Amino acid sequence: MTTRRAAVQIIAGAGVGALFTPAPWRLVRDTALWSENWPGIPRPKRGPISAKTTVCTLCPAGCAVRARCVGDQPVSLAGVNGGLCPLGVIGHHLPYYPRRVKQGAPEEARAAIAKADPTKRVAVLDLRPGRTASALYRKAMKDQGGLYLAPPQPGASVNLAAAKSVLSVGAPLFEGWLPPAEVFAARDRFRLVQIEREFSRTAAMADVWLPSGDVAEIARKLDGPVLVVDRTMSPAIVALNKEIGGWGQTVQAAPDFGADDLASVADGSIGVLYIDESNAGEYIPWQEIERKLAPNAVTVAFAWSPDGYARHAKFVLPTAVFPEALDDVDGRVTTPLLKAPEGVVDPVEFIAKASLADALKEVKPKEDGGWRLPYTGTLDATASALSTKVYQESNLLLAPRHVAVAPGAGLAENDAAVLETSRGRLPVRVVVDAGLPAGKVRFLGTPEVLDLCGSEEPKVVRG
Amino acid sequence: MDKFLIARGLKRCSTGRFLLWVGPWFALLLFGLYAAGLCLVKGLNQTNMDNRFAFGLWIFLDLTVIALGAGAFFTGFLLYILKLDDLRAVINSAVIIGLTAYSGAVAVLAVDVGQPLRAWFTFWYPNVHSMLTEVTFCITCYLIVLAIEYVPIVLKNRRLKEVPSLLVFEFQLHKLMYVLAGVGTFLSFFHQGSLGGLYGVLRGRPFAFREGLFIWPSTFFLFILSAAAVGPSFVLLTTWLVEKITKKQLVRTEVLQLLGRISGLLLSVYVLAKTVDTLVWINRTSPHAGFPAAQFYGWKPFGIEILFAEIVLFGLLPAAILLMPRLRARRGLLVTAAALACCGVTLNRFVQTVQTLALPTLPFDKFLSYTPSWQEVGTFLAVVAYGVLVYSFSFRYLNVFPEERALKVQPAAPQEEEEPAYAGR
Amino acid sequence: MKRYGMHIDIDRCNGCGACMVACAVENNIPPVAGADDRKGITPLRVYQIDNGEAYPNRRTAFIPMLCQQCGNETPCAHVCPQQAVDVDPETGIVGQMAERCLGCRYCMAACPYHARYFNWWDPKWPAGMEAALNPDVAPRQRGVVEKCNFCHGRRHAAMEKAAAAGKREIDPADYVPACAEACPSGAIRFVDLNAQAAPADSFRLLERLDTDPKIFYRSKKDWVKRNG
Repeated sequence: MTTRRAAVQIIAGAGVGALFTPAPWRLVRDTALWSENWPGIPRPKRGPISAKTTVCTLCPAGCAVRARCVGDQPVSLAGVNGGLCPLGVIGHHLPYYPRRVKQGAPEEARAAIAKADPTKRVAVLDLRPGRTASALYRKAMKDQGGLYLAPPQPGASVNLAAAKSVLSVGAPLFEGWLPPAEVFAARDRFRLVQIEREFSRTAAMADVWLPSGDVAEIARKLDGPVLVVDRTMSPAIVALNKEIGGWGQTVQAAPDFGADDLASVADGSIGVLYIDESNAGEYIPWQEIERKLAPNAVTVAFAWSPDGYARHAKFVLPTAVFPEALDDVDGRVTTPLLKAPEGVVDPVEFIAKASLADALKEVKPKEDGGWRLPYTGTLDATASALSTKVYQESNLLLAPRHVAVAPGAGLAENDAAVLETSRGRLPVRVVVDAGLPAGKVRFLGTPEVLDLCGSEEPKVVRG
Repeated sequence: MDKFLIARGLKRCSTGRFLLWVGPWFALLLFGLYAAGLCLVKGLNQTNMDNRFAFGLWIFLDLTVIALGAGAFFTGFLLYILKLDDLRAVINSAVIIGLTAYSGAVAVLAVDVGQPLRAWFTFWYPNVHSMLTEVTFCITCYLIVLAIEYVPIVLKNRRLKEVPSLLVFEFQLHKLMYVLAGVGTFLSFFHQGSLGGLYGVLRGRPFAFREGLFIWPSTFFLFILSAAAVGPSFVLLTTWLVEKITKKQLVRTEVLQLLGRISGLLLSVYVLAKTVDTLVWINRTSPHAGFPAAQFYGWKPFGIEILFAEIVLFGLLPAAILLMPRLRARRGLLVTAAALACCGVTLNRFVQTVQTLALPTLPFDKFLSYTPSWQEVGTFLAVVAYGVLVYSFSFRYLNVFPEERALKVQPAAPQEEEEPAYAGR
Repeated sequence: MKRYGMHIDIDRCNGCGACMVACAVENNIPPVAGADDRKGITPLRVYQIDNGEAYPNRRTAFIPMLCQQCGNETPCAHVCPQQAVDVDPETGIVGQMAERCLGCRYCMAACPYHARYFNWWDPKWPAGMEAALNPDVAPRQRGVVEKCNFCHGRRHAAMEKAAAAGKREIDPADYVPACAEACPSGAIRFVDLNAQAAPADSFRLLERLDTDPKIFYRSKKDWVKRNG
């Protein structure tokens, strides 16, 4: 007869006995294994590791890049001649930008272009002139009697390696103005005097910082060869360089990209505007372009990011992005590392009806002799998800839609504010920077901000 | 309705009234379980803890409830080892408080760690250098001890007593009580101390770091002393609270007086030790690490007032009240002093956890602040509700206060009474 | 036996953040949309320091902060309840075993350099970006602590390469952490401290805490040295 005591004895005995079997210990260990292998945690793909070299096209510096690839997939980028800038390091993430332009209607665009007013002109706005693609656009426009437009470029090229003294009037020398690794490789060979109201990053690393000063007088007193720069290599600065004898040594003429002057184009005269934003650098405020467009103009933007002119264009056609794209910088041709997704449109094919690949076969790298055209655009890294590291996760770099103000401006860190001009308002977040003089504000000149400001200084008000 | 479960000779309120009391606490428990569930499912981003405040509300409250629940081991030590028989009146209550405090703390810890399934790693790969290993082992063992100590209280229930085998089991178990009390004291000595050692060994936090004896920093001993001092105070406080809520006299006045005297004695020893320790820290330990102590108190709101409050307002003052028989005799002062002592321990645990982490260590650190999220508060409130519920059920169906029957007085006419706030469980 | 460390020249750091991003790429650190500078995972983090004065006397500098690989009674290794922190005697590198970590965050409280970071969220990458993950580093799930380990994955790759070539010692050129490789100004230099002593005017952070960190900073600016 099974008594309660016997039942209890069996259960208790089984419990104790089970401890001597592997079963409970295995089960416990399984909890550890399960906790290490949660579903949803990706397993990086394995494969043959190789190194491929290409050229980074995210800014005109065109740093040589070595990509570490697993199979066909680049998993990290490193500079061949030194380090890369933060945008270059995450270049291989750009294809995965969640807001990337993926769909377009090329056939509809073509149809609209075919029906465009034939009395109006055709124009190409090339946001990265100087490439082989740019030459193809220029030729196509010349053949059609169209316009080849480009954003304003710096007024001169510079040769930093040849300088013994550099006088910079607000040029962000150490902040991506010139190829970063080259600037730092040459750092010990020149003395930098930075004249800038704000105590910027470049000012912090300069040998001498002056909030203001007589540029010409200081330039004349420096040890030669002297290089005088400002952000855009303005005519006055170029003239000063000529005066003190740097012409041909530290400063020379900027390459002529053969662009037509936008200001001299008649208002309302453009009927079809192609915008190649596949490799954007500087942007022009949209108002300046818009007034040149005819009332029913067809605007076709070739872009991978929706934040540029894609906001204004009638048709947005997706393009390949670095590292998918075939392109060139100063005669150095990229090696596409990834295949572009379905649906991308080749702007050269569309606009110039030419084959960029064929044209690039003729290209040979040039001996540049150390001459560089400075970069005057913005470095906005938000297209990579990992850029949160330098933006909101560390507040190291000023992010888009953030504005830096001086203390005492009546605004506190992280306040909601508004960037205000006569054209409108843009909500922003405040960062307090004590290196700014009273009244000065700093923000990233992204396309939407340029559209808001134009040539007007914005006001920052509490939002 | 449930009269058959209530011990003979004891009067308890009607079932309906009891359910009215239990209902809101149950609702609070459910809300808290939901908050905890969110943290388990969605991750600890539900809290406001961050990389700077790695420890937040939960760790602070864990330390506090464990200190307050120290009445369990200390009362047991005093009763079974030092033979202070008067304390038999409150030992059951102390055990229940201890059990709910420790089990609640362990439950919160399960939510607090990022990977609760790996909790057994500490037993499998223990690190002999780490105070936390010691805490884990001791608290686990002590929880088992408390559970075993609770079993006889449950088995003495009117209905359960009628089962012969359980009656015999309970009787045998009772013989073990002395052993359990000894083991409990030994374990508690170490884990109360190690909880203090957790912060005292942090060389990287000069605010908390203390020199000490052999491998134990002075905070090891200070925590034991403060826990032992506050344990009886908290037992006193809860007894008074239960008496107020149930409108019964549950213990003789002498018992409360004894608890107060013990607490006062230990509290004064603690205040002395703490003062000496603080002076050593200000003059030697902290400057030696490159941090003049005054620097720590420059950050608002953590000014020097906190140190003053901890040692004088919540230490010296209640110690004085509890040691003077004439002041102790006045119930209001006695309870206030006990409450102050409990506040003192709470403040001390806060200083050791949250303030330690708030204070900058690197020269370019910013002073950051932290407020718990509602999920954190909810989880903690679940522990409070759990404690109240376990205590309420135990009080109703088990004979928690053995002197109650002897002291039975007619209860006053039932009135709706505002529930007094629990002094931080 | 090696003692890996770093020489960091504060005067050469311009706060560009390339090192931080390269670290995130190398270590498969998830981008967390909801993270801020208190909950984000940045094993290497560049802080901006200043001399506390107002404009125009304000001076700023940038200081890359990472795990200092403490050599003396490593605080985090001592406090981990389940020995998830391993100090390698061969290299001096303090390694973190994410698979063993319970997530109790005691090590985070112990570290005075704020070098340890907790995974507050489940890791999530934008669609398709998992393809670009580094195969040498396992992604961690939520609830565990992580920190800089001098790019362990790269060290293992260098060791495999040396073993495949039949050598006993790795080639130093093969083992360069991602941050040192990415830095355009050469401010971060990864060295074997046994082979290359730090420059004479170097300082370490929180020296008086006696943790024996292996990251040596230098600067010619007096206010920076006082800050350290």
